[in-house]
Amino acid sequence: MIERRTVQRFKKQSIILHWVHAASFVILAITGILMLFHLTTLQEGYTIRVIHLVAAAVFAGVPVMYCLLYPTAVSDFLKETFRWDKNDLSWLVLSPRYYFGGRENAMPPQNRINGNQKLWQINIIVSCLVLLVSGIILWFFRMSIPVLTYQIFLLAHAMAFFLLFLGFLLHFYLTSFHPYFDESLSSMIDGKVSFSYAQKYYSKWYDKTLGKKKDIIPD
Amino acid sequence: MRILIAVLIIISVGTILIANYAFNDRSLNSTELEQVKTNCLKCHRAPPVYPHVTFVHNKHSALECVVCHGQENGLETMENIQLSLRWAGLGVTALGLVGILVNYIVMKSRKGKQ
Repeated sequence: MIERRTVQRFKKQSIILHWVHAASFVILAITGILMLFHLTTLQEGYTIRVIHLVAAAVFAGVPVMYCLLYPTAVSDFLKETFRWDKNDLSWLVLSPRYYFGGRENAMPPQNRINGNQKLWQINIIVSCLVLLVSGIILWFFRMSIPVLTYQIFLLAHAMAFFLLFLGFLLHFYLTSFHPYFDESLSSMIDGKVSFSYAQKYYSKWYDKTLGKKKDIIPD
Repeated sequence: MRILIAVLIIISVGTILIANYAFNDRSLNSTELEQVKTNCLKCHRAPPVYPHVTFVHNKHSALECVVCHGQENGLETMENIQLSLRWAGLGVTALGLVGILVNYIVMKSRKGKQ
């Protein structure tokens, strides 16, 4: 029987931000890999670079716009990401065994996002900052700096990309294919998760939300 | 109102970026022209007739920097580091993908047993 009682986990604006950012990241990854591994001819390389820059403008610009339009939401996001307790750290330690079919009752209670998701968000913030700063240097100041300096920034850019890409692969797999997190992808489309899913994985948030009786869609 | 401000910001920033890209070119000065002539002649029969810096870099964006800037100190070391990073990145990504595949197979088999 399909459970119909749901609770709102993500707001519409954060869903839009997520998908726009994800789409631009995929384009950046493909064009970036083509350039990094020299997989293009000279003329193609020029076109690939233009596509990379357009996607970079979206990748950097949309979150900046979001910060200007929804500063409260951004502040909440940062507090949520950087506020850790012992349950979050326990989740990090126990999660590899759990993801390989470990017992659910062995896992500590979590808030709206679990320890691994917080680590992923930290990865995004740090990597994107490095990509943004190095990207700006490589785009606007590459003619003004020595070639060696250019190469150092290129190296930093590539390293930040690899870190982000590895996290992206894991994030994509866990949200789309792992049997434990079957409502993860749908929750990033309509923003909702079922009561039982919220209670199982985000029990601390579930108790807080139900306690205030907010955003609950009844049968 | 917020949407209008957002659209205005996008149009302004977009215009600045396009203008920067379109007009950010400059000609090589005589010293630079003398320096690059030797490097250009490694592959080309004649020196560049359109020696604008951005144009030259964009046309050669797929080449390694040492091909034209080989006299720079430390450049070859940096490019070797980059090559190592590429291979390390590939290796770690491959390991990650194998780990994901193993996890998928394990979880599928556990689900089958239940």
